[in-house]
Amino acid sequence: MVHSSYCYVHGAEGVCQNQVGVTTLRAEGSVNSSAADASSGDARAGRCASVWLPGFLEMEAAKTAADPERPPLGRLARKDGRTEDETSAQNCRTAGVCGSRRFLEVTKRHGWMLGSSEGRETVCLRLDGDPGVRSGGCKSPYGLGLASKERARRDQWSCSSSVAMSTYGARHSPSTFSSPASTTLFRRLTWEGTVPLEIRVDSKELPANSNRGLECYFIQAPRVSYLPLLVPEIKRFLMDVVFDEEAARGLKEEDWWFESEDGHLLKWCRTHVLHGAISVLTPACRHWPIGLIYDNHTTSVSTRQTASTSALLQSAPLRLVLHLASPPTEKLLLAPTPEACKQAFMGQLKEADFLRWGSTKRMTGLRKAEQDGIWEGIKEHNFDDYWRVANKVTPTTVPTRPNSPPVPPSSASLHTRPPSADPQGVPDREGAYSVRSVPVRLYLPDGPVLQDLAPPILEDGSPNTLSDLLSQHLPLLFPTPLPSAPTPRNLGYALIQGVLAPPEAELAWLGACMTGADGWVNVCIGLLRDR
Amino acid sequence: MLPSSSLTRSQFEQACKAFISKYHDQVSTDLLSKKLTGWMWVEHPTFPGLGFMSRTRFVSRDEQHSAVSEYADDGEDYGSLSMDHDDAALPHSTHEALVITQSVVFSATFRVPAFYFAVHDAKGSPLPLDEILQTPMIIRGALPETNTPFSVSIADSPFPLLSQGEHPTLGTPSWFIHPCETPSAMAELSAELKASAMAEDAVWSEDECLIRWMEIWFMVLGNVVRLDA
Repeated sequence: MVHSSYCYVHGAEGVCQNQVGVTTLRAEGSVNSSAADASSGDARAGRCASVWLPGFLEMEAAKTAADPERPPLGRLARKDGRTEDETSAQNCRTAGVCGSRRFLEVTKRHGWMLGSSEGRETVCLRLDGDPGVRSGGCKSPYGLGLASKERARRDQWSCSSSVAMSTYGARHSPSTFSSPASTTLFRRLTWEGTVPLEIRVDSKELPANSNRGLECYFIQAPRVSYLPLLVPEIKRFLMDVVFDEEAARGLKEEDWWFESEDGHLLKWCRTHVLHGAISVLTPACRHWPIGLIYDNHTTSVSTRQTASTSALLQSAPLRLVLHLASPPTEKLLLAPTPEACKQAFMGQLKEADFLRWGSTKRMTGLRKAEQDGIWEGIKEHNFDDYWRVANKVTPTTVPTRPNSPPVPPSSASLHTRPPSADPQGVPDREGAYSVRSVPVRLYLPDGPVLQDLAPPILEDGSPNTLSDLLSQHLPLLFPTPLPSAPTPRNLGYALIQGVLAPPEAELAWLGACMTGADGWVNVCIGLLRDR
Repeated sequence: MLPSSSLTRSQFEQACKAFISKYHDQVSTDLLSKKLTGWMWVEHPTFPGLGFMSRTRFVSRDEQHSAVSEYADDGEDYGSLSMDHDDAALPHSTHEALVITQSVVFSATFRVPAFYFAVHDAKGSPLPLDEILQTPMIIRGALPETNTPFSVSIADSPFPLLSQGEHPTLGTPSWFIHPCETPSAMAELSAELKASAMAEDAVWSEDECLIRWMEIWFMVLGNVVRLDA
């Protein structure tokens, strides 16, 4: 699956069509390179998202070489012919790696030059040699976390957000929407998580003259995406490889729907209906994120097999059956179209908003274009597009909280304010520890979905943790430690985004860093069978 | 104490059980209490604490053709509803029974009861939304609506009025009326009730308070869903 169009230095595939990107990346530590270097080899993945015409740095290089005192001004030439002024509010991605629009604007405004970038790191150098944090605020997830984490060097300055401070003590008031490095890192990891799916077309529904035997498609699907969004890609494969063009002409994508192949998951629900049981389709037809469907399958399987804990980590593909025709009428189905999925998704985002703050005004305060932009970010699987808007409604964590998970040591500069100005216990009003309730749900294997209020801080002032929540709702599986039994043995485990979650994880932190794209922390509970 | 805009789950359980008990014994003679009878308490088969109220209603599909003649009768007769029609004039009368399964569940997000339902024809097939909207069950308001095959939305509301979702306890696909407006409506109405109760110096037990709260909730629901069908 082709994801974003960033060009990465290492491990990339495809061809970067932006000479600027290539030269910038290849030039180590130096700002200006000639465009001629770009012609030699070194293809990058995807297509560099830079909208700036190649040769910009070449142009600036020549001028700066002539006059080192001169700050790099000059109009940038955009591929689409617009001028900077027209586009200052637009998403102008910098050349090379950092996708932040701020990066470029701020660099230009304050006389900073685009520095060398190695891998995902984007380093800025100030022309006047003065160290310090750029003002404004780099919204780039790369610059923010990874630069300072991975390769902070003394003589070069990491791209830092206005929240972060350099080690020389420049201070700026924190932006509401900025994120500490660890938050962004985990959000990035969550976003990039994938699960293996094996999708087979129901053989009874294959159109005439299909290439039978080939109708099985394997895909490593993003956890945060949704099954209806995979349909275009699967359809392309099927049209190319399996279907006879003529026979497939009548197929309508909106009739397509997924069913889980595991017969165990077919639920029969006896309602108070005159005519007996109604067959209800399996979780694969629900509006659940793909990662949740997968984890729920994992935990359901855990109740049946005698698998040991280590077997949990094996990731077998989830087998799904793709139906090409509307379901038989006796089956009840949630509408499987992308539009229905989008509406359900937006509803979940708003519910999460409501739970956190008691109103949905953060979500409804977004412009329609922004609300649509969140869904587009999911459809295109673009981290930046999604988080550009999601940052406005998702709380972040303050890294100096006493019990937060450890922050990477190289980000020693990531304090929102010097300790003297931030007495312990002063909450960030927009922060994850100030919400009314963390949006969290517990998914029992084959069982109901539990949801209850989950305040970030308990009555005794300590942070509410995952083990507190589990002991409260599932005391038999997760016994509370007692003086007589201080380390009870858990009979279950918790999967969040496919990761075995540690019991001491704080709910507020989970709510900021490990939510799905719909804003919810989905915890799948499985049973431990043996040691 | 009369709850205001929300309930805890245990208050919900207590309220429902008291409510069911009150209306269980009543003979449904008047239209008002007809909406409120026939409910029973259902628990999740294996997991405690997720109970909800449920009842089943039967309507004749023929009703959709008799939009003008409101059935003043009790809705539980299969064939006697199209009273104003001369049956001989119809080529054939399809008194097909529709089965409506109604649930009052606890909304964990909004902390109020929420109304979930499913509509099936006699063969057990679920009705599509446009046919559901033709039954008298959903009351169409004066506001313009945006309809999709899976939802009905009112302008300016963050959530669709009627949409699909999973039943919170059973997990089955259902239609539901979104409860997002309920807390504010309940706060207002329960404040009024409380004021009038104080004016009368009325003293209610806890169960009575909860029952009245549920009655108000049913009244609010009655603006959107016709419950006496």
